[in-house]
Amino acid sequence: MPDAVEQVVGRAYEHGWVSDIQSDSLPPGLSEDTVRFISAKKDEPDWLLQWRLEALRKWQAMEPPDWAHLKWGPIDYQSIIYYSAPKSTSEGPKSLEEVDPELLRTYEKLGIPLHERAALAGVAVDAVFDSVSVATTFRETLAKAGVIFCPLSEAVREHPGLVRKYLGSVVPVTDNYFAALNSAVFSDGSFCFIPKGVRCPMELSTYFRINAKNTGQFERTLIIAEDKAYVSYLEGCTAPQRDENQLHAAVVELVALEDAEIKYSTVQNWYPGDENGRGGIFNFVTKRGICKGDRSRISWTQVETGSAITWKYPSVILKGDDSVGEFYSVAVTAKRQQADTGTKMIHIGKNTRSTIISKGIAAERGQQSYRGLVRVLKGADNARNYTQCDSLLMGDTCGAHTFPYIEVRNRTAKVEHEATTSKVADEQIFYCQQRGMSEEDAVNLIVNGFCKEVFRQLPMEFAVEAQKLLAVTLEGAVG
Amino acid sequence: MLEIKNLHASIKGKAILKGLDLVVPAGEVHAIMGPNGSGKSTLSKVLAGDEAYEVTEGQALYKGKDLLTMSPDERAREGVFLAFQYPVEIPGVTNAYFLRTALNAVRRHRGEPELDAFTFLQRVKEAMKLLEMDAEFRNRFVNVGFSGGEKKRNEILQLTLLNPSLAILDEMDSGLDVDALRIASRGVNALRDADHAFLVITHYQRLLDYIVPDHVHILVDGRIVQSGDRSLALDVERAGYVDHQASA
Amino acid sequence: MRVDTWLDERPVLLDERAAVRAAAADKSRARPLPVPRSEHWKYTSTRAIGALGLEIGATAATLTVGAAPQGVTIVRWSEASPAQRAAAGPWFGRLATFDGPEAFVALNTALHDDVVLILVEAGADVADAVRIVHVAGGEDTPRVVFPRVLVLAEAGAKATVIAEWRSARGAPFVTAPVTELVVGDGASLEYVSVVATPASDFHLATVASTVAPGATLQATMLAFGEGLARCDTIVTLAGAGASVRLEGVGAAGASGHIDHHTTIDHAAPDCTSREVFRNIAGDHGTVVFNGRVVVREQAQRSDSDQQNRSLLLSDDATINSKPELEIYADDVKCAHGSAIGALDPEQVWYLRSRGIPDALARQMLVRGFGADVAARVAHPGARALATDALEAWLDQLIAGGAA
Repeated sequence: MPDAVEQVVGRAYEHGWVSDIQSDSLPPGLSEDTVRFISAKKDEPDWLLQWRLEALRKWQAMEPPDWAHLKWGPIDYQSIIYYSAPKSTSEGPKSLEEVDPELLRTYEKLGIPLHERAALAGVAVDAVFDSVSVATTFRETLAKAGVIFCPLSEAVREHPGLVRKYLGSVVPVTDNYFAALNSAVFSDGSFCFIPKGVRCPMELSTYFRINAKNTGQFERTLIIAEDKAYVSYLEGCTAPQRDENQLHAAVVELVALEDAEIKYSTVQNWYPGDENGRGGIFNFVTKRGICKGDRSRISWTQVETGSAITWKYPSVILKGDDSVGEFYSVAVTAKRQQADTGTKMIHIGKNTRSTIISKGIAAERGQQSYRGLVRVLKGADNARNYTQCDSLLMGDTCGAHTFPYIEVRNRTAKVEHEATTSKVADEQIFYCQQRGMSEEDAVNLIVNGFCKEVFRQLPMEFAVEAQKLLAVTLEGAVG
Repeated sequence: MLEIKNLHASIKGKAILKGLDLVVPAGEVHAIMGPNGSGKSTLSKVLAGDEAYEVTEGQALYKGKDLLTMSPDERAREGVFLAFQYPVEIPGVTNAYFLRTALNAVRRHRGEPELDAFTFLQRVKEAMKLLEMDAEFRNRFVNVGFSGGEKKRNEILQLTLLNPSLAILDEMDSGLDVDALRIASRGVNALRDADHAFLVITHYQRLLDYIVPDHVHILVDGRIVQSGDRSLALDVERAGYVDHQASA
Repeated sequence: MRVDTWLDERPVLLDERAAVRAAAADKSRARPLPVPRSEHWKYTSTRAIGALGLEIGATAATLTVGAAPQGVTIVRWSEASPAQRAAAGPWFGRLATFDGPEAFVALNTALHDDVVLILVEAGADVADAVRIVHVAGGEDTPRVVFPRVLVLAEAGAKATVIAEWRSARGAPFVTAPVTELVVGDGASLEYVSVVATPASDFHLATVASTVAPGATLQATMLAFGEGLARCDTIVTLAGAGASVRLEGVGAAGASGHIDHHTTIDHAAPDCTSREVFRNIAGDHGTVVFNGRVVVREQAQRSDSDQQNRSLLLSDDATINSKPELEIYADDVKCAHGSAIGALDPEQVWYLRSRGIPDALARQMLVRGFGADVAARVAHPGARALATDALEAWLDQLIAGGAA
């Protein structure tokens, strides 16, 4: 079996190439001038500039969080480039024909169907490259249905009322250190608005990629589903292989009004660093949705296989009565990856329900933590939560940890939390082998079984991709 | 089919098999009987390639090839099947998916095309019918929450579908009531022909009423101390293993 | 709190405790009370303590000890023989450490004046339980005391120790005891702690233990009250094949705040831990359970199970539960569960359908909710004491207009 371990150590990161694209970048450093530059570059209204500056001032007075089960050295925020745009698109592409062909090839390498004729029909893609949204497909089809799907910077210009109403309404500027930083310097992201009664006719999708060196990526996504609206949104991430760490501090805000439903799925495969812990993305992300209206529903599904450090807690505020929050997660840490991830379910409305299914897998020297908060406030009569949190260990140099926080202030609430930790048993592998499967197939089979409840939540194409990623990340990691 | 010469094996440094000889030709059913701790289960695990056991001496040839140097999955693909005494549970993996993965691994090895979903399903349905298994077992997770008898029937289902040349049945009768035993045996007997060989490991004679052996061997303290025909099993049932232990 | 003055006025010790005590004094001078809202003190604020204008009290007078059974020696450190001190010395301050957020352990280590030593001879099979009763309070001015106990069960010994912490009504009183339990090779120790904290009082206890190869600890931690009780229980499974059964009940009424904070540290292979805690919060009470299980790299084949169940009896009560698993070894079997809810209406209905009045049905169910913990106490005398204490308290909680 040790051969198998060596195999994975030698494994190369599949998306680790760098694209040769001219970037239009700021010099490294963060000050009021940086924020003014970004805001001016985007031609933003004054209220947004002031909002950013306020965030910067708040951020400067804040301390980075230290409660997570993660170890990382100090981040030098002055050595990061806060704005990097592919040069040819700095004016913003008007159509696909205007997009830098090199960029399109980059996306081809990533397997993203940017062209409308591309294979994955039915998926509208907004691609964020470094910090700038470069192309959005299927816009006309969506526009016909009344759905707005565009870069956030464009939404600021075209739909200022909506942006101003909802931006920061779910994740306030001062929510946490990284959210404050994002609020100050975010450069672009996706904006999505599903009007009343509309069922979005296709899956919406954003692919993120960090390409330029020393660049931080600070995208911001805002999704609003009005009464009885429905949308399913997919997000995929990759980054090139570099020796230094790169910072990714994103913010995602979801707003679901009465009877609305938002499904948000992520497959995160940022560069994880090498086997010695050199390089890799620092992924500090704030994702939160609010079930504002009665009977609304927000569902987060994430498959986290990348990043050197993942700090991420996609959350739901269950404000509307009878609203539902869900969190399905598979997180894998191999090499020297560390993940501290989970969710928060805040029950405010009556008869609110939440489900948390978390599957953590640790291999090699990976450290894996589930951290989840279930809070039932006083008025949340008949709130229900069920949490199942399982960890799988592969090898004796990794760690798997569980840190749930359960806070209940209503006696009619019912909260159940269960957690288990186990390893892939030798007996299970032997049993599969005795039926003719190779050791690697056996491990894949068992691990996929372990993750089944989560994969089931993903749209079909994504589920296949997620299984593939999982197999690659864990290739030979069983010793 | 199977030729074992002077086989010695131990677990955690403790010797269990101490010079076992056994020849099982194609087309025959051989029963291994013996008291608890005599090495019956060890023999089945060693033949299947469980790495917890160490072979310290001797050899085992399967169709003339050295079995002991093959990995467990190679052995399985070559046609050696072990029906486990205690089949493990694999949460999240459905029985159907598991069976199909295993079957296709074996078929690829034999140079046969992989089965399409429809044909596969047909075969599973037929086999399950033979074993009087409820259709819902296809979609349940492998052995998870199965009763002892259901697990055993599931083993025989796999045996039927994978169609190995050599099947080793380790205490197939333990935990089975008479009805279940009859049904499971029906699955085994359906495979009996000139190309198949069976090694039936059991503590009790009862099983051999259903799967009638050509030869019976008595295993005591890691060695075969007596071989004979079917009547030997009946003798053992009457007299117990005491005499044989004394003679060992 | 005038911690600096207290430290200055403490006599300098010239015995085995000196070095640990000096380190604790440095720590206490730097930061006498816990950092508010830190992870370790997330659900329990001790800020009120700083505002009490406390005077330090004498501990020696408040600790009463029954007669020692055969095989057991009970002696104060100040009166112990050199041999007794030599046996206990290496353990003092080693189990209840204070290099982290354990502010009250540091204070106790720096400011306690004597230690009650309970020494159980190697191989002694002690049938009678050792019972220590600590009575605090009844004073006119707010005071703080720092009782200190060290139990040393030598190899192969079998013994039971009951510690009762009672309070008399009076000015606000703070009790910050530290108990260290050493369970030697193959020894078997049962420890039962009963804490009752009245409304104006604070109880900030730490019980830290180490369990040697093949040894067993069974600890039952009961804490009730209308004041604030924070009970830290730390068990280190230090030797191969050691095992622990740690159980407890936290019940708060009025504006009480009860916080059980436990750590079970699997530091050796083949150890087993079983943990069961029940929380019951009535009226405006808050009950906290923070149970941490750590499995170290070398602790292969650890088997650990932790179960926490909580009952909310009123609209203003709060339950906070934080079961934690921290696992660094792969060949392990670890699980935990936490369930929070109200009395099951179907159970209430079932009892009523058999003719039991509603109030009694509820009382029975609340009693039953905690009863199995007390029922699993092994020593018959300790079991009776635990059961009585629990029932009396739960009845009071229900009578307080809770259920």
